[in-house]
Amino acid sequence: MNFASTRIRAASNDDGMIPLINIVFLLLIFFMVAGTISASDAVMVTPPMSKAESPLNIEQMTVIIGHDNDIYLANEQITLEQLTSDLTQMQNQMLQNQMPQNQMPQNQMMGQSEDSQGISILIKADGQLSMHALQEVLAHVKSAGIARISLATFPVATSPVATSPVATSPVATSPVASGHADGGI
Amino acid sequence: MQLITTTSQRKNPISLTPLIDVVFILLLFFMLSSSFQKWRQVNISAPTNSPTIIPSEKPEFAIVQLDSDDGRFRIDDTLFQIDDLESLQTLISARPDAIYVLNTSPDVRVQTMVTLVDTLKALGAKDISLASEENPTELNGVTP
Repeated sequence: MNFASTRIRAASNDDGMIPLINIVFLLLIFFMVAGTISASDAVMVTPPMSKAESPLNIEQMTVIIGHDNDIYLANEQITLEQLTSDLTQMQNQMLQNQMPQNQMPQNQMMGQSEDSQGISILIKADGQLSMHALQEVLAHVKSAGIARISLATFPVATSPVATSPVATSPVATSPVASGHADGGI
Repeated sequence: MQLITTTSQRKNPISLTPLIDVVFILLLFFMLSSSFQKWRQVNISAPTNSPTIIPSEKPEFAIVQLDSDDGRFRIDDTLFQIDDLESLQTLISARPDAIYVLNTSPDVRVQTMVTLVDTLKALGAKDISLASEENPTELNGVTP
């Protein structure tokens, strides 16, 4: 009897909830203000750690290279050949849109002039990926006539995996071999 | 006793539970959809946009050959260790205006390349370029 009455009273009385609601509201405000909502990537990649300071330009097309060298353009998996053709198409569209403003059709057609910017590409490659995979994508992106390419990185300090395999390697120091040859290319 | 019940009725004319439900759902949404990762980018520009190459002057090249992930690399056939900042500093301060052309082996990791670019940049190399794999004469300027 005694139990039942207290339980009913507690259930009908919401006063005990108010501190809970306060905290939940605070959490809500924190996540709304501090977090940024963005579309998630097709695959999770752990980009290379870098000291690079330039913030991400969100207006770029994103090319993701996953662990198995699978390539995603705008979160859709495509092949390397499709990447070139799709990017060429986008680049041409962009240049055509720019043409009336710049009124330099001969330069715009080349796609190489200083004024023609075209689209810019952000490559999100996994840090553990081989350079071969990155170089392949770079070559295909550039064959589409795109000049502005960037590689996504994470800042070094905030990462829990700040030590790269390079920095921790216990190999003998100091220059060993000799011979300075100024290489021309 | 009567006083308490009347005030509580006045304070809560409607139940707070639906409000809490909605707030919890909002909280869940923001917790799951927001990200706190701070992305940065390293620019890889095509050769036409590289501003540092003066056409009248023949640029000086330093060939950086990166073949393994163990922290060793060659600059113009001299073996360096990426930890060995002093020797690197000596070399780079002697040739700050050279274009450091990065040749990478296909199996080197991207992380290794980025770390090397960071190190060279931090030591004062102004112009770092990533050579294309199939055509090493085709350079991509890298600006972290």
